[in-house]
Amino acid sequence: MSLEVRNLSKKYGEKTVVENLSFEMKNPGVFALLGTNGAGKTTSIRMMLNMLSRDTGEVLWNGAPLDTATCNVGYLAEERGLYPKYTLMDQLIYFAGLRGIPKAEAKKRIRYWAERLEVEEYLYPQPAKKEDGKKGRAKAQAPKKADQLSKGNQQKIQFMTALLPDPDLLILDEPLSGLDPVNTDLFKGIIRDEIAKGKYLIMSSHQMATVEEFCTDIIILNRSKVVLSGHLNDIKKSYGRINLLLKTETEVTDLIRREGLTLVSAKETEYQIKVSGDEQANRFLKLLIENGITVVTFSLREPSLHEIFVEKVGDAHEA
Amino acid sequence: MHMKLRKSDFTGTGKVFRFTLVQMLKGKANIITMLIFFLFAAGSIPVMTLMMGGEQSQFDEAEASRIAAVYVRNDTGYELDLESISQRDKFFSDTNFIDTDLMDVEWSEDTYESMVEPTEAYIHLQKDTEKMNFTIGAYALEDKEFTDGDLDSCAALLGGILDEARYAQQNVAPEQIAALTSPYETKSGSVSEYLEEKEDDFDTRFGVQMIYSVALLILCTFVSSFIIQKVIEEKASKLAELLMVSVSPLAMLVGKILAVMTYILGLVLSLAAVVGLSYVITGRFADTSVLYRQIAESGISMETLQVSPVTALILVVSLLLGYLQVSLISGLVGTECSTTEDVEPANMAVVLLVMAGYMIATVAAGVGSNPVLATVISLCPITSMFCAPVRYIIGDIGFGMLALSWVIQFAVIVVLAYVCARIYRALMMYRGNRMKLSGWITMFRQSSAKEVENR
Repeated sequence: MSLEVRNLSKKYGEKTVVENLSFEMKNPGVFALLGTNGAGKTTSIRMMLNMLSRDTGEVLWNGAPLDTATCNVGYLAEERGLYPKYTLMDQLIYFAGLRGIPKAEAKKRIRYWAERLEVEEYLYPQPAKKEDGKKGRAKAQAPKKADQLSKGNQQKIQFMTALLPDPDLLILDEPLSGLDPVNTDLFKGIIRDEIAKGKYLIMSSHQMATVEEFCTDIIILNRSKVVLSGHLNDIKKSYGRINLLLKTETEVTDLIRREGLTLVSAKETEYQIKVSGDEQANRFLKLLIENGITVVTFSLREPSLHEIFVEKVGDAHEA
Repeated sequence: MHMKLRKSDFTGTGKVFRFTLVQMLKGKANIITMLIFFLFAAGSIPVMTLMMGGEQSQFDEAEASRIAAVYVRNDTGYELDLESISQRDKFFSDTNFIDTDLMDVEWSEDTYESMVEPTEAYIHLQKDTEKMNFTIGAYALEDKEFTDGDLDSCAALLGGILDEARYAQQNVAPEQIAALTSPYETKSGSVSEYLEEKEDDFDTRFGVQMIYSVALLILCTFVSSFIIQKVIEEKASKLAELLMVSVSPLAMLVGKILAVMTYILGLVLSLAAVVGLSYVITGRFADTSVLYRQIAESGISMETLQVSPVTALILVVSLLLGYLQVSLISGLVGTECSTTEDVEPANMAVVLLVMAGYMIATVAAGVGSNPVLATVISLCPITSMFCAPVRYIIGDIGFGMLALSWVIQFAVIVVLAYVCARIYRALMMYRGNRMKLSGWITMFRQSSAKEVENR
């Protein structure tokens, strides 16, 4: 299986919202679609899924134009929604039915995902519980409707709708936004499982740490244009190891300044320093030793995705 | 224009239809509305019967006339069969007809005043031998306890018995008497009306047009509101994006239109069944025929309406075409809304359009029979759904014109469906203020241009 996006472009009047977006997923994994607000991520996803017409370009799944007939797609939209007044079970069966899943099979899958996402109590009638001191028969709790759920639980149901078809291609637009740490871990666990199953995932997110945790390839959009794309490790390597974490037993600020390094932050004798590369770092280490400084930590690392993102779109964003 | 609809555009229509219909039936507000409608339908027949005086007839039919006794003075010379009256007319089954000749009383105004009770009547049948005519006088006290109608009916009944007595005396056979005394109707009018062999009855024309137009207006208004609400449901619930992965917007629109149609059709049929049941039950306790009489008095009869399977089919086809036109317009107007607050003005736009058609149809009905006007309003979209079937039924246009009107209406539906297919997807994703017509046209042009490019 493979996904190929070629030269997607979209204009609203004179305003270009996506310009020549191209990328390819030859193997299963997670592809990150990153960008500032309004950069064109959601529009790109909508064009990929044929919700929006595109001015130019094509999206191919195994060489054929991508649609629900050629590709089993699961989609968690950025715009979260459920019918507020219908029961959740009715809605899930309906969504599954639209994807061609028979009712009995849909019920099985709903049961599985309800357990995984810990939402059974909202989907199935709960046995009667009698409150202490209250007389009479206790009433069984009816299944919930969407407007009776918290935002996080609604998000779990929406995630379920994306997972129910057991998709080959899963598109997640800001999957973790608004979730508490416990539910974030729950979602992450499921995403990891999907990756392990050999699924193709496209993820759009502002949480760079999460993207870094899962993604192998990225594309960064800024104001409708692609400003960076490629394999995440290669991109990082291309930047080199420029972040130095230093911890000493004594104050070394003067030495840092004397060497002409950029001090990013300092907390007591723990410093974050920008270096131009390995050579400058080694020279600085030598200087520290020559000056009799006891080095507790000397860690040289590549830039984080967050730093790359800010570097690529930060200036333009501020402007 | 090239219409390029694919079969896949309609995949999932059945599922959308089923889900929408089931949720409509499950909705508490709809259940309450249905119950109220059923209550009104069930109560309408007894209430209308009572308001139109059906209870009096019911009393009469069940207990017969309130006249306890009728003193019959027969000075005609013909022998009247007073004993058989109770068998001949159920209404007088409990009334005692007393032949005054058998009473030892000299009948005069004084004796009449002293002898006749408020529940009794006095009927004097006389023959004028010179003029060769008969007089039947029916009298009762001022404070009588029965209606003038009862007294008139009693006099008319005795008149019928007198006729039969006269024929019998001439040895006319009972079958011949029946033939001779069968009822007849009189009509009067101008020679031109007689020559045209068609009565230009303003009341009838107006009445038929009004009944059909009001029914269609209610249906369209009801439908428009329902469809706009159903169409906006996905946008207001932020579900449009999720659903559009699985089902085409056109399939969603068609599924919803069909579901609303089925719901309303089911509701109308159920209401009709309830009204029918109510009619049968009311008929056991009251005289429901007053309803027919009331309708007949307004000039509308089964004959005027030409009620037959063919006219029923014509009405069904016309209603269906009208429904589809209004549904598609409502669907388009509804999709340009982004929030539930937009529903009311959007619905108002559709209602105003339908109202315009209704008003033109009503005013045209008031103008009378004019072949040019009938043709124009039967062919023009929006007015045609109100006018064409009625004009055909009352004979203003022929079947050819009706068929042409249907063809034009069908073409309008096809054009609307084409527009829907073009811009419905974009409208589903559209958020913002309600779009103006120019926005629609731009959207339609862009969509058309893209299709050309894609080729």
